[in-house]
Amino acid sequence: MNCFKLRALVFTVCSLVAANSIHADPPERITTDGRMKQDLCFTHDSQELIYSVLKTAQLIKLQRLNLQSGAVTDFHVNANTNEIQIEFSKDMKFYAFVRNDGNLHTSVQVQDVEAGETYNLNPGGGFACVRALTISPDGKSVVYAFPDNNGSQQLWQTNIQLQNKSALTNSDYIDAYPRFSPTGNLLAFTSTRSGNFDIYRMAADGSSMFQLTDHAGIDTRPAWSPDGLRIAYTSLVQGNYEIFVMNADGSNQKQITKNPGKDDFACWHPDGKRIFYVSEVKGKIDIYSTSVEELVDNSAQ
Amino acid sequence: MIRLGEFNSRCCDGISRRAFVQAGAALPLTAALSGDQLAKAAVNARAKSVMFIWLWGAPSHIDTFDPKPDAPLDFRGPFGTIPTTIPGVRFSELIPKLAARTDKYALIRSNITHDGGHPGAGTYGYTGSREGRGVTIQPSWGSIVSRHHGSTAGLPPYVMLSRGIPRDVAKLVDGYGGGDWGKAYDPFLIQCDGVGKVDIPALKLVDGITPDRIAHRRLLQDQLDKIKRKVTANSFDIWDKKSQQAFTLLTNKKAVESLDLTRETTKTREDYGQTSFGQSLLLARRLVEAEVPFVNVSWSEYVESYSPNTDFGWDTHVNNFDLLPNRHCPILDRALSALLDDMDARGLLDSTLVVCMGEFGRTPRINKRASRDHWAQNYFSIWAGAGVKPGRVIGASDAKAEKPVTRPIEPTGVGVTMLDCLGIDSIERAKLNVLPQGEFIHELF
Repeated sequence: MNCFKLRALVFTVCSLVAANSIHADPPERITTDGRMKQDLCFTHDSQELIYSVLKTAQLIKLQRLNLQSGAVTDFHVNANTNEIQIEFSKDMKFYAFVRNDGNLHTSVQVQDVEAGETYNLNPGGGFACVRALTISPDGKSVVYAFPDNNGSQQLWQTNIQLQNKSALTNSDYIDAYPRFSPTGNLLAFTSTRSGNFDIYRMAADGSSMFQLTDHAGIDTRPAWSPDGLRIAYTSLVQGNYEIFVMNADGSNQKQITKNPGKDDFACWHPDGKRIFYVSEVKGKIDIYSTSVEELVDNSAQ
Repeated sequence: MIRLGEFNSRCCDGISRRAFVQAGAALPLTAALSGDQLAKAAVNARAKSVMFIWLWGAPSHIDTFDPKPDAPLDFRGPFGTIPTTIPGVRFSELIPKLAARTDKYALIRSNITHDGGHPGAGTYGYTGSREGRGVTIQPSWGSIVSRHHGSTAGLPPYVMLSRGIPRDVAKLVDGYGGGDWGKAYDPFLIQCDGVGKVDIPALKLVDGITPDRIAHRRLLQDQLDKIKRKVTANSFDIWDKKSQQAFTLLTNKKAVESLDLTRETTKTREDYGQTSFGQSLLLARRLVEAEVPFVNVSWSEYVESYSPNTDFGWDTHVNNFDLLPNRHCPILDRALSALLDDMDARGLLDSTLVVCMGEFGRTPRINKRASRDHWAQNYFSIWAGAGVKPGRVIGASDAKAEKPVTRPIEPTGVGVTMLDCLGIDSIERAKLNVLPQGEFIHELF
């Protein structure tokens, strides 16, 4: 094969790859301690990244990373039990998280920052675990995933004081990882309605459900872009977890990461140009960021 | 001479259950075993070491190594399946690296046990016997090896790599150690964290030596010199057995080096993953290289998957479909795959039997909490090395992974097979008055 044919072949292969993935600068490594991390979330009033980290063999703590100074501090300094998946209202007056308050038992906690009040939702006695929640941008409601006592798992909604519980979904399947859109009028979530975990979208009142992904592997943990036009999510492709981005209607699904290790827990930077995520590289689990500006620019054209 | 009698239930060494009883009844005479018989037992030994990897808390078999994609959704769960290197055999999509390495191990899909609770099943898994008030606590597999083999080159014969003795939030597993033989045959506990930092609880009893000093050999030597000056032969005896073992270990250069993971290449340590389980498996490989005959790696100290002050075991009564894909399976997939690759590349599988299993499986039917409970009637185990023929599935479960449809493999069979491979055959077990029952898993070899 002469060099021109070789070039043509390389160009063709690259073009095919480019059609379904994003070319960007190499991901930037944000943390370096290598500990297990999950559930990334940006604050709305600053460039602080909050996430859960396996601090000791027996304790997952919420940690706060200031991206400008690099300073890392415990979010709840005195927390002595596992805390995961924090989310803030847009005005930062409320935040919600999941607290491991008993043997195989977690509860929803809401903190009213200004009033200094803490609200607690105990989902039930015995073994009972809430895993995933989302707080509405206006700080008026919380949606969380919890089993329905029959093998299924529904999405439930409460007010910000964690009262007036009502079911948003009513299915025979497992619904999980709800996420309010930036305007609060939509919810993205993952569900087994198709037989495996795929991403769905519905109105915030539970109506107008719409399947966004239809893939034989796991699709989970949707994360809305700040402008509400796109959703990042984790997809298990050929045995490897990668981050994908799609339009909010499910179209234009593109692979963002390409790493032999596990990439998961996507979270948009407030500027909408970068996605932060947890990646296992060489056996270490750290937070990385990657630019999606190319994706944004292409969509605008 | 002991008459071996008829062979109605052969073990790998050709000794029948009846022969075992006869040998056991003649126990005082076994000291007079002929040289030929002892030589025969030695010939049957296939392994210098056993690595017993304990997935404490009990992983779901149907979501990992025994998926049932054609079962109803409330059984099969939400995970897809992927092919393995064995034609027609599929695993869950959660363990792709292990699916790609089935040419390195054999899988049993027909394990059963006789207790549906963790401590009880744990004791079955470690001893082959039940636990309970008033019941004699049998010695664990490692304790039998410990008594039979004795220590090697300053290293304890039965090492447990774990944060602590396996337990649930209520109690310890009775069968973890020497049982009624006493604590002299308990495991020597070594802790290894996610960055490979080694901690030896027994050292805390030895005159202020801190575990960090293991990695700082010059400091350690200073400490040991001080102790040597202070300790006379008489005072050495007042230390308990574990402290003595710790002291002996630390005065042995080879033993100390075996605990030092910084001697591994960065790539090797990365391959196992920066998790306590991953680094513990790497440490286990080093201990096997140092000829420790029985190394037990426990996934966790506690069974509980998500409870305060516990360390994330496999007991997924809740969040099974979250914890498995997000935490447990990726850790297991990476670390166990790295171990198999590493052991294979170093030729260690020729002389080491690797066994990986939990104490039971989990309910094939999804529970009311959208998760899975305990299931003693069917689970899996992984076997590699020491003559195990890889690339095969032994046994099978029914269409919903509820029960074996082939010969059930019991904990006693697991124990007998491990011990036989180490040369502790039915005659040797009779001498020790342990494990009169149990069938060698001949299908593996």
